[in-house]
Amino acid sequence: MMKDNIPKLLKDSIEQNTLDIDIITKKLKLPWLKLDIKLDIPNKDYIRELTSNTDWRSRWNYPDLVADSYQVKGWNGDVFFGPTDWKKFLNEANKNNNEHNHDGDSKCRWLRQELDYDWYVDPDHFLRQQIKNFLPNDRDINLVNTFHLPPGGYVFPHRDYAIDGMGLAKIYIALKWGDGNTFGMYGCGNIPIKEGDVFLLNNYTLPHWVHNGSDDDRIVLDISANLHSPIIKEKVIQAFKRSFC
Amino acid sequence: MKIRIDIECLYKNTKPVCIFYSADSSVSKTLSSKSSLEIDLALRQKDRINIDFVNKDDQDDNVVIIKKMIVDGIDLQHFIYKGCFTPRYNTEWYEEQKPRPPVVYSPCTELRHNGVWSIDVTIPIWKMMMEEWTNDER
Repeated sequence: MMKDNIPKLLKDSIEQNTLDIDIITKKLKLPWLKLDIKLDIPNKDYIRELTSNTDWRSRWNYPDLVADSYQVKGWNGDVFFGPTDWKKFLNEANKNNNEHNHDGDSKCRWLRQELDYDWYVDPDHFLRQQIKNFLPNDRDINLVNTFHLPPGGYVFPHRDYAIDGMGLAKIYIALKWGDGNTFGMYGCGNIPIKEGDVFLLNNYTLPHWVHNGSDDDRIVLDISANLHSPIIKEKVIQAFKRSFC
Repeated sequence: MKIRIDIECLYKNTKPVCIFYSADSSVSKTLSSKSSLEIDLALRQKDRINIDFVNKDDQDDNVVIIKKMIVDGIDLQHFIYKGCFTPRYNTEWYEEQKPRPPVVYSPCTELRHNGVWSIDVTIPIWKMMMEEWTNDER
């Protein structure tokens, strides 16, 4: 065959060039990929729980503690899986905050091997059960939190920064997402999210913003996870193939 | 284009006077301790908004502090720290300084000498801000 007469470097490259999860998620700087993952819709009791959050900004020690400051309106959330010693976690994570306030996902990824992490809810909790279907090993989870945005709420255009230079990293699940909601990504239009969709987002490369223009609460589940975990890895590669191959 | 500038001033008797100008237009304002100025400057697609502090009084030690700038209804937020201040030092004072003070200060929002504070802008402003974030490789 013709391949026998070509240099080994070229031959190996041709024959062994498989899809690489690190190249796809870290190097390409893709804005998003839609993952083929399905979650059940939470019942009313869980919806109520997911909208009665603690003060998200205070929890993360954001410097601007005014909940309705110029940049955000009504934005809130709660943590369901993360570091068990939250104070110690924040102290360690903020040591790296030299030039930018790295986002929560990034901080939790960074310290995953150094600190203890666990669920904040019982094993039979709806979210925990749902997430177990595609992330069965807790060691592969860095952070599970919700983002709640009431009608008229927004987060101003901004760019997040990661300690570890990630691109696609945020598993973003639209648990409750009525018509009129937007997630804009600069230069890419709005992310085509519908209720129940699961996306892998890159919030580190481009400015982005969210607005709830619907008349109902918007609830998003945000998961930072090991993208090499078997099911997620397969879903990411499958999504990449669907989009580009 | 409508520009709102929130400025605080320190002075005893000499209210600071500043000339606000772009490539094609200018307006002069006498400032008070807290001013929220609404000015209208013609802005080209690529332009520079300048604030020239023209009546520094060394006895009074009046100071101009830029707090906020809103261009075309959009708060420039932390991007005002991209502004540069090029002072026109009092010659006598300058000769006494060792080492010599800087030719340009940036970031700088406190004008403690006569001189021009300036910030480059491109229209549309929202896109300028997006590009600033997008190209921030720190």
